[in-house]
Amino acid sequence: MLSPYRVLDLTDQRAALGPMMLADLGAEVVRVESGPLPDPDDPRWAAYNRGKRSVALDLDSEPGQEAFRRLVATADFVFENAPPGVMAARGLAFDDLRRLNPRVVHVAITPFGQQGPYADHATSDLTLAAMAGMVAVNGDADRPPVRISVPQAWLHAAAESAAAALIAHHRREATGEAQFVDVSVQASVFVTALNACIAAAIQGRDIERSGSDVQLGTITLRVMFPCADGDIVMFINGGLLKRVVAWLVEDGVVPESWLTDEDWPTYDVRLLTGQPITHPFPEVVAAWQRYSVRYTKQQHYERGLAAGTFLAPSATIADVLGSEQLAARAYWQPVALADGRSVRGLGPFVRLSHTPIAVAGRVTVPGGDTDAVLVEAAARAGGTEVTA
Amino acid sequence: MTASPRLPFDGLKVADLSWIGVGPLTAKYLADHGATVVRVETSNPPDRLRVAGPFKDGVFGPNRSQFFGMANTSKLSLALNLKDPTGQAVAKRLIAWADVYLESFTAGTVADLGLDYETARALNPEIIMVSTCLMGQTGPAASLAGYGTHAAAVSGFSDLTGWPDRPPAGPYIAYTDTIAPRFLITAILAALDHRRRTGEGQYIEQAQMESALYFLAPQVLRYQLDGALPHRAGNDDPEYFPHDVFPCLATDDGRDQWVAVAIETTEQWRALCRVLGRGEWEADPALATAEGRRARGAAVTDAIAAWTRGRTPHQAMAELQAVGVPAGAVQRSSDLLRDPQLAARGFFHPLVHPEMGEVPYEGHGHRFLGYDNGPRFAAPTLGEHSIEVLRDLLGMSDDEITEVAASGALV
Repeated sequence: MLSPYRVLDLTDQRAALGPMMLADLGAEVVRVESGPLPDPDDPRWAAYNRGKRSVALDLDSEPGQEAFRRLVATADFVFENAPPGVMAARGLAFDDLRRLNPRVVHVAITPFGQQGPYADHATSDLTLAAMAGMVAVNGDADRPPVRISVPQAWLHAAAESAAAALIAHHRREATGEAQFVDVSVQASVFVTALNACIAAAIQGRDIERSGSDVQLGTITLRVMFPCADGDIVMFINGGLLKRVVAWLVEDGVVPESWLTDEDWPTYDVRLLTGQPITHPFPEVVAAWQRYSVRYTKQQHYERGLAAGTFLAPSATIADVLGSEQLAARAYWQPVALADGRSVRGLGPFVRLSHTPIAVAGRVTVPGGDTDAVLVEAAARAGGTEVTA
Repeated sequence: MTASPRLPFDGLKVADLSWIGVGPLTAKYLADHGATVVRVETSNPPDRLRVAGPFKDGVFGPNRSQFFGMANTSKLSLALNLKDPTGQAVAKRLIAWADVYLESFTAGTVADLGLDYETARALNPEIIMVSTCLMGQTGPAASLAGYGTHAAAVSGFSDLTGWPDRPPAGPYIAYTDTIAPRFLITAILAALDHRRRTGEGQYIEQAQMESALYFLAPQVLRYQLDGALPHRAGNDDPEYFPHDVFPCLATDDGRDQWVAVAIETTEQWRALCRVLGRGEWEADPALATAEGRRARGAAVTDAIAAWTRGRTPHQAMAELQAVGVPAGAVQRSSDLLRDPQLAARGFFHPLVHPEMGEVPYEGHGHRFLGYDNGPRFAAPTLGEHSIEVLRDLLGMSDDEITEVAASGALV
């Protein structure tokens, strides 16, 4: 789908997802490794570097910069996540790139953006998640706030960079002008707090962390419940409650009178708007919990599936790999690592009817295409001299 | 900068029949960047975000929710009952008008409404139709409706948030709703480019779980390679130490405040020791590695906490950043709204909403050199543009509009 376009990918593993999304959609992506070559069998490399070629060029040396300039002349997009100022010091700032290629889209991803009082801050996944508002809303109220336990902050910016690159591309096609895209990790992570991120300006107070509870302004809903082997998510809402109460009665957790002494389909709306209810919310939650602990995640999921009700297991990575849904949709795709091992790689991130994503079956070897790419670039430039 | 003010999607027409999080947030990218986006919605039932807070001044009302507002900037609202035959007929005219048609109902719903891809393509051969739901349109779990909370749990994010001795403590509210739109809009923009070059439209189907798993891809691969199953661990990191949030002075109204500190290099550790006045640690080779420091865990973290406790998060951050130590205040909404970095970026866009008055709307994670890509105008009230859409976009006559209105479909 993006087969006419060539992407130069200078990102490190924190931001390599963005160019891979374009590779999945058919773009030709050439990674440029400047500095020590990454370990191709590190899962962090393998996860976000497939369907790309890779060339090793020292961008801090004159010959490397010269070879890179030749590549820029042939590229539609350049992605990089160097700290602000680093590309300029190499003579490879946006103004330099657009002189080489007046239609280039330059995508720069940094912790806080190219300018501003925090632009040069030392950062990590945790500090960026904190500064963006993501940490404040996660965690139990009686313990410190937490990040998600595996790195997430840069991934939001990386995925945003793919979208932003194509937004810029549409404008480039309309205007013929080069485009500079300034992606900020902080600004990209901001939306993860959804209704909390701007709450103070709207309701005059912050939304505070409260575990897995769903905070909806007028009410806070508990949705995470223990089960026999872990936890499940269940929403107490409308049509669902009638079925759930029937299960509670069937299991003898609540008396049969519960079937008739409340109009369950309207329970959530009455609760939300403060109208009369027979069974107070904490009573319903307690009854549900007496039931939920009796069954496993899988039992809950299957019972919900049969009833068309999403009782979502809090899945582990092992559970995800065992998902029948993903298997039925043929999601997993074999991917070969550099050392020859094969694993189940992630499948297409969307399904396209006319131009389906064909996931590349091989992890990119860092620097593995240096000669081929440079020979091609020289040929395109009309010359014959090759400098590695 | 000589760039013209032309926006990327000037002239693009979008029928946004989606609701709640993922679909509207995806169409928002198009709307904020210049497309004409008609958000189709109804009062029965209203978009769930319209009845979820925060509400302006804490007063409940379907036109007072900024949860809805943040996801629907720069859009026009057409109130339309899609269960009504007249409503369906209007929807078909909108689909015939549109370049892109999005929906996010439970799998199978658009077929029941007579608004599926076959119908859409017959009306508009070049249409790009987009369906997004939690688990996909096919497979045994296709029928499961839910929120990003469900998708976050079933995709593995909940299991990885919180404390090992407690149930999951997040992620907050509907995490995958903030991941899936980034993948979906990227695919839509590639499909638009393909259509521009070939004239071929298509159908795009997203299972939100299948996109969101890309944020756990290293963990999925690692588990297969060495059997390492990650687990929630507070703020611990297997590679770095110290790596946590530390207590600071409380807010004026007594709420806890924290600063995040993450030491990734020996140089950062030594700088931290100097700030803490711990010359003996700075020189101790046993503490030069994360493992060495982890072995002395509580002594290290207690010393940091003793230092942070007398400072505000922003004071601690400033002092640590001055010597190159990664530190970041744990910012709430009230902090973010006065964050000097976001202000320097022009991140917040104060816009006037018909019922809420002037409220700040957030910008995007990206911005462009040469033009403002923030929200162009405030989110609509329910049905605010119904007549305008029928008359000006669909070209209906006054008589037609009167007939549609009389049918009761415009609610």
